[in-house]
Order: sequence, then C-alpha cells, then structure tokens
Amino acid sequence: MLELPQMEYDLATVVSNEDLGRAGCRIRTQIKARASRLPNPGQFAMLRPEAGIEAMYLSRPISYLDAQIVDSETLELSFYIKVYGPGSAALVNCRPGDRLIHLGPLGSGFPMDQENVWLVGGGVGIAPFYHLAHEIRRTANSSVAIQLFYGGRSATDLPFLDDLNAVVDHIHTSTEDGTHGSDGLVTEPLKDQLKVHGSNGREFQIYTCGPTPMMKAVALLAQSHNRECLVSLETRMACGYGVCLGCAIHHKDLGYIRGCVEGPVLNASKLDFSERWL
Amino acid sequence: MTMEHDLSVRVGNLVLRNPITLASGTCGYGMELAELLDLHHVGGFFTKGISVKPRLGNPPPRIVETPSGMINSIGLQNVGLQAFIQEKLPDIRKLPLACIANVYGNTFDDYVELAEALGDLDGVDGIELNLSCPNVKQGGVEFGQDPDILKKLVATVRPHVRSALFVKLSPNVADVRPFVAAGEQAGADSISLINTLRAMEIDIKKQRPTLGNISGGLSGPAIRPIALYQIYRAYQVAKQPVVGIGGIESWDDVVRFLLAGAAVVQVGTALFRNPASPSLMLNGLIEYMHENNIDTVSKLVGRAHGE
Repeated sequence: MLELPQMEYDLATVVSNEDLGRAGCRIRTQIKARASRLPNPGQFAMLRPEAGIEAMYLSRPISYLDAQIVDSETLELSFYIKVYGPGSAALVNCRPGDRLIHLGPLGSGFPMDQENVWLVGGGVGIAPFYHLAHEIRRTANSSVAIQLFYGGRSATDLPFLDDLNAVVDHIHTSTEDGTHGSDGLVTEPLKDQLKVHGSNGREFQIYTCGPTPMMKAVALLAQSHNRECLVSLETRMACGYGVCLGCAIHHKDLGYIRGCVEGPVLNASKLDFSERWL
Repeated sequence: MTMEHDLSVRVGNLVLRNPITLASGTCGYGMELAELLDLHHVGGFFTKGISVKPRLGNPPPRIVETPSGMINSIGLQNVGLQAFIQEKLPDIRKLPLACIANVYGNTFDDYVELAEALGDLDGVDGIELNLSCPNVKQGGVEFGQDPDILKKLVATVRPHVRSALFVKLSPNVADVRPFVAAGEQAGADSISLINTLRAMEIDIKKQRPTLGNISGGLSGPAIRPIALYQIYRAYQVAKQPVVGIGGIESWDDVVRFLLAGAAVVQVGTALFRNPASPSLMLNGLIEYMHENNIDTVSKLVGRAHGE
C-alpha cells in the first residue's frame, strides 16, 4: 500500500465546548502537530465535523481564538463560534471527544512587530484580537500598549471580558442597549479616544474585525485621522488554500485577490467598502 | 505474494501514471497543492482555464453551499496566456505530474492562438478545450451546444496541438453522444465530461439571488449520478478514452466512473473538502483491484456495460 502524505489537515479532538449563551460557544481542541504549525493571530482554519457530508459539505473558515503549545507533539487550538447557518450550527453542537477536520493555519495574520495597537472588535470578530492580545503578552512584549474597543448589542454579547482584561491595557466596552459600558455603537468611544490621541505623534495602529458596517465605520474614522487601519475580512470560501477563487475581494490596486491567501487581514485603504457583498 | 498493478493510462501521446487527475478550476496551477497532496499519487492536473487575455472574474459572492455540493460563479478568473507561460509554467515544469492546460476562448481565433502557444510547449503535456463553462457569457459554451460547430472548432485547433487534445463538453445538452462523436471525428484524443450544471440559489433574507452572477455551476456529490450516466452514454459511442468528471468523492466513486467507461477521472470539488483525498482514492483503487484480481486498470474501464 502507498505511504500517505503528511497532511496539513488533521483531526482536532474537542476537549471542551463552553456554552456562552446568546454569544455562542468556545470550543477547545487539541491536534497532533509540532510548534512550527502554531497559528499566528489573525490566521484561520477550515473546520467541519468529522461526520458525513449530510451535515455540511464544505468546511467553514473560523478564526483562531487562541493557540498554544501543549507539548512537543500537541497544540491546543480554540475557536469562538456563533450560529449563523447550518455550518456553524453543526460546529456548535460538537461535544468533548468529537473530532473536527481541521486544515490550517491559513491566510495572512496580523503583524506582531507593532508598537501600540487599538483593537476594535464586535461579535465573533473578537476572536483574532483575543489571540493577538494573549500572544503579545506571551511573547513578553509587555511594552506594547493595547487598547480594546469591544461592542455588542447587549452585555450578553460580550464574552471573554475577564480574560481580555488580564491582557489588554484598557477595554472600552459599548452596548446598543446600554447594559455594559457606553451607550451605542463601538465607534463612539473610538471617536472620543481619537479626538484625544488621534492627532498627536504617538505611534499606534488600528485593527478591526467584526460586522462589515462596523469595520467600514472604523476604517473611515482611521482614515480621517491618518491612521493605518488593518481589517480582517470574512468571506465565503470553499477551499481556504487558494485554489477555488470563491473568496475574491476587490483590491484597489490588484483587482480580485484571494481572501484566504492574500487575506483575511488587509489594509483598509485598499478596499472599497461600498461593494454590495461586503 | 504481491501483485504488480498497471495503473497507467494512455491518451493520445500522453501516458499518465494513473487514472486519477485533478480537475480544472480546483487545483490552481498545480503548485498550490504541493504542500497538501503528494503529487506523485496523481496522474496529472488540468490548469485553471486560461484565456488569451487575463480575466478579472465575476463579482462576489461567488460560491454558495447547496445540499451535497456547491454552486460557483468564479467567471474564469485567470492570469492570461502570457503570464501563464512566463510566471506559472517555470514552476509547473518542476512538478512531478502531467500538466494539461485548460483553455477557453470567445472566438475560433482565440482557441487557435491558445493552441499555437501551448500545443507544443515544454511542460504542457496536453490541452483541454473548455467548451462548457456556464459562468461567462462567452465561456466557449456556445461552441459546445452544436455538434457541427464543435467539430469545426476541434478540427481547426487540432493541427496546432502536438500534445494530447482533450475536449471538455457541457452537460447542459439533451444528448452528449453526438458531441462525443463530433469531437473524436475532428481529432480529439479524449472527451472530458461533465462540467458543472447550471444552477442558482436564492437568499431568502435579502430576497435576491445569492450569487453576484445570479447563476453558477453546480458541483460536488450532488451531480455524481448525473455525471455517471453521461459517461455511461458517452462510452457507448466513444472510440477514444473518456475522461469522467463530476462529484467524485472517494475511491469507490473512482471505481464507479471506471466501470461506467471513464479511462481517466478528474477529482474536483472534493479537493476543497480534503486536498489529500486523491491519495486515499488511489489507495482504495489499488486495494479494489487487488481484491478483484485485476492487474491492469484498463480492464475495469467500461465493465458495467457487460461483455
């Protein structure tokens, strides 16, 4: 018989599935892989339950919520999943001991050489920032100041606040119903902070991930203060590794680029947020 | 006792090491898969469709999942002929498998230009004429709707192609058999079928078509029984090897397609789910041959038709 190749897709065994109520769930998994396969913050995996094609045909692109080395042969990978359709519903229903088919890490991540960052997240868009903030602290880069702007409809839409508090310098929460932090959209505290710090010489970059209208508003605010802004875009994709061309994103200079290989983290100034699909 | 299995397949002057190949549009330009799949396990790959000029492709959303499959409307996004030769081919030459260039045009002249440029070029082991893309207004599809036009086109292109010439048919016709006969009479070394089936999905929240292009091509296991029947029918009239495509997901699907009459199969959408799946298919095929005391893969081809 043939010797099967070393596959970049692995079976990820579910260790725990923590119910976060309305906000979704946190799934912790372990895979047999070496440290060289440790994902960078902002990268993603293609994920689906091991069960047959009846449940879901294509894997779903899911950002890593966190990634750590357990031992020389094992990585712990966690994901924040909220139900949007049948694919995410199938993932949310997994139980400890179940196995997920995992292809990753994939895509561009956030740079790790930043001086100071302002992270603006909402919904499942908090996942790459949870990862980034923890990774910055783990790499002993304690001089990096991290400000997090975290918004949702209600207090129940803001999971992980305790974990995040431990690694970021300041969290500005906001909720549309006023049940946590400031009243209204996440862009309000961002505006206030930009008024104070936006035009002074202090170096910081703005990263945003979440619903498209939020990312668009953040990108425009950053632009008006001449701040670089990176966005992490979510697109429909079939393969995740660059061959299906399903995840095309219109780039102002390059035409259609692949959300899975050139993205998902892209410079906001190169994107046209008026496009219908965004 | 170990049995030596002969898995090789000849198409025109091209010999593939085994009948499992990768379908156009699902394996890029080959190298994208090099880290995910042992390319020694497949016979060859069919490139993303190449046009004379680069193409931007269709507006997103371009894909949607459907029961046991997906619909795509990529719109033949590709780097164009010159960039393919200059930027992609040097890397392709280093890959350990046959490369068949999938080409499409809007006019006879386009096909001739592509065939002249690629039909006798180091690193390109064959040409597949795409006469069947459902996703662009002139994706060659009109050449695949009339057997007489198809015959004329293949006959015009054939003298420029010294390597193996494949003709990829549309399944969106009433009966594929006249098209198979027309392609072969005009000099094709092989007929490939099926391409995706025209399909659409509707987003009930937006109350609009899900895809930016409105319609697209359906692929995946959903179309496998349809493809299998078309290949069965094509085999009835084919004198040359048939290439079977459509929803192949596992080794038993490969066996089914061989039994229906395909000498070569293309794995497509299954690569999206599992880029290493062709290795598992090859393993399963060899095991099946072993269990059934079949030493040469060609002995399986068309067996479902009886003696």
